[in-house]
Amino acid sequence: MGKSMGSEPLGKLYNGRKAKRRREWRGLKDTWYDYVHWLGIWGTLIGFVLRPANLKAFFRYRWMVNYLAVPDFFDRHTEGMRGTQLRVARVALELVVRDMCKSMSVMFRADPACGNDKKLNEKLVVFDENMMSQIMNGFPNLKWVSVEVPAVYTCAMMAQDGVLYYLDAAQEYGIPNDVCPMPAAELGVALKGDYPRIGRCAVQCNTTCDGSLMGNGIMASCMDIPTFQLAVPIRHDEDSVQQYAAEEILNAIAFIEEQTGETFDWNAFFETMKRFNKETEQLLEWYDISRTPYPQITGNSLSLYRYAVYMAAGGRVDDFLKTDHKLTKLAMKGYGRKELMAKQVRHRAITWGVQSAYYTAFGIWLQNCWGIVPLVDMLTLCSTRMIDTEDKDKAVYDLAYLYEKMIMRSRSNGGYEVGVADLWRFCESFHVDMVIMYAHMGCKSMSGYHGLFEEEARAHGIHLVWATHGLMDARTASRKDMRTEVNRYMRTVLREEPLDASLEDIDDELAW
Amino acid sequence: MRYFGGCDAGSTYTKCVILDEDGKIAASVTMKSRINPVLSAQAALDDAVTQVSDLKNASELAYLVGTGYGRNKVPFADENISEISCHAMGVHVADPSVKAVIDIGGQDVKGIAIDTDGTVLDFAMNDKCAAGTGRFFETMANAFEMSLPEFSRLSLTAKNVIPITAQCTVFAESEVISLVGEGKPMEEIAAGIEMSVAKRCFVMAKKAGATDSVALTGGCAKNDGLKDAIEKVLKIRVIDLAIDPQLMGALGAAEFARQKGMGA
Repeated sequence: MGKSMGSEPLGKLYNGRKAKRRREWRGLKDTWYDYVHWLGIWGTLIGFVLRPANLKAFFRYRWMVNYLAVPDFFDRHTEGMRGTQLRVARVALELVVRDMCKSMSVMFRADPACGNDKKLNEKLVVFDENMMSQIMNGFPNLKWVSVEVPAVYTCAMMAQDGVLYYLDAAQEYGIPNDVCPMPAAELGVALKGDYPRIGRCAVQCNTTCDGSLMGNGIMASCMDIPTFQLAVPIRHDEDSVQQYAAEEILNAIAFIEEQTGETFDWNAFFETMKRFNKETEQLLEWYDISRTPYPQITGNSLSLYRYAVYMAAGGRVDDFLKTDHKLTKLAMKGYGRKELMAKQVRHRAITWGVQSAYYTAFGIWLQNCWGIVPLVDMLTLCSTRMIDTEDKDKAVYDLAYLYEKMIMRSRSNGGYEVGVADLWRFCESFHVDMVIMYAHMGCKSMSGYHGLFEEEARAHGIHLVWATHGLMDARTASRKDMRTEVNRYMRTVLREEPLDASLEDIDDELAW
Repeated sequence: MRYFGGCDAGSTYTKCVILDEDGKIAASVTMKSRINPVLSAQAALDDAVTQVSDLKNASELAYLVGTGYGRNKVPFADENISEISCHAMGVHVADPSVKAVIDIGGQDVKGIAIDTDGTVLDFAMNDKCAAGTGRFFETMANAFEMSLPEFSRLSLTAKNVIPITAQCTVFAESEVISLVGEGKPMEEIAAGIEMSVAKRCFVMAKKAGATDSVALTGGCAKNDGLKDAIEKVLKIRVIDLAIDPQLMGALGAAEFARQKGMGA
């Protein structure tokens, strides 16, 4: 019993409270694999906590408690999976956790409130959370670190109430509650003095919107270290802005050199960018598989892993390339066996818009409940252009282009072509019949496009299903609200019955 | 003769329609919803049954479909169907030529595109805030110390329109009270309120694929001031339905019940 995909009702895992038991019987081989890896995650977490600086951080920073939900996060993100899909999710997401543990260990070791390693602290350059790290590839003696990612972004992913305390703090301070929860939560953490005070200098970026600019100002004043504002062009598809963009990259490099006394090492940069290019090649292979009837690396296994590769690791971590190869091998095996991503694949989908941080497992629910396979998401569909690794001038232009195409800004900025028209091109190229359109209630960047999407989806014959959410604040639109929108569409317009009826109406209001 | 019932347990009004085998309306009821949708639905159904001489009680209905805000809380229905499907079917029964509907209910707004057989082609829905809903009008009419029909009639007498900039019901109420306090003409403020809701309907009409005409359903469809504003803002014709537009959800539910009961 329970061996094949969709053979047992998964709704039974939800009882309205925090799930204490999410073990599902996946057949002997898959259950054993999953259990061993579940133990492995505990091993990684215990290893992390055993470092004195990290243990101190658990008591110093309130947001650290969210990371107790990491094993549950894995259970949510592997729900109902079997075979290759399960292995891909485990392999990809486990590396992200290990890499993040390493990064956080560096952060806490340098933190005066925890490890207080002053020498290490002098080597740290703090980047804001939406900013990719590739500039640091030319500074092999320095370390890239982001304090907002562990304090805000991933907290909201681990537990749906992960940053509510900080959102309340921001609102008590006077910030209206319809502001995007991401900068609001960042402000809340700053107000509560819950950022590690680390770093020699900081680099920030005008990533997505005025909200992120507000966050930048707060961060700059709270960290009290020299900060460079990298102003990347908004209309990033225009040829006329590329020279300016390249000059800004050189300005950022000069700032880091000036603050740290280090010199940008082009050889080190080229070496790491070669690795980054190879990682991009692997991604393109996965996309090719996803264009066939048997996609293998999709949904959140792809997107969360890709965010880590593209933005954080940026070619500096060899483990990611090794894992890329491992994932490709797994995917080819799954493809050869014609393994499906759901019990029955009824719809191939692209998710567009910014996904909800508190419901990253939404795509898995789509698969299990309705047979909608989210192949790829808007944030993952960034630049796949190779970076020149021989000519410095060309490399700077390529790097500038890469920064213009950062996750969170490549589509929310840049106008109609990248925000709307590209979607239909991707729909055609991935052979999808459905778009799950995330509508982040607090986001002003994408909301201007909404009417266009409706009209053009109709013209392209694509089913457009809206999923409204509050990004990091589940109180404004809950996970259940998101599911209800899909349920309504599936029953009313497509008149379909769910694959797993037990998942259609589940109570997870209080779950992690 | 067999009879078929549709019960629409809305957030502010509960409606019930009973159809005979030929699809003719044998009874219809509209009553204010109570806090408990089950009791509301039961009361509306019992009331409707008394209008049909052939029926002694609700259990004699051949088939009953529940829908509406409390659609999952109508335990005595044979089946529950989404309010979007029921509204589409109701409008199709009332006027098969209608292809796009804006349903303004007590606390949500829907845009629905209807297929030739009365099924839903596409829809959009705002159920996240009260802006542009019946609740919005109730709040505004309260601010004017008027009933809804009085408020609607007042808006039609305006020669000019004072724009209401706030979309949020709470902020709009504050804005209206300020304008009244400033001594601005009441009818022009009322027309501004109608216009602001009409602008919100624009998005829904667009999503419902409305090009030259649209039908209004829900309680707000009886607001002539709103109809007038929608025609001006959307520059499309608002179709007058021959049957009470507030009954469309219940009528659609009853039609579904008839189709199921007749084995269609």
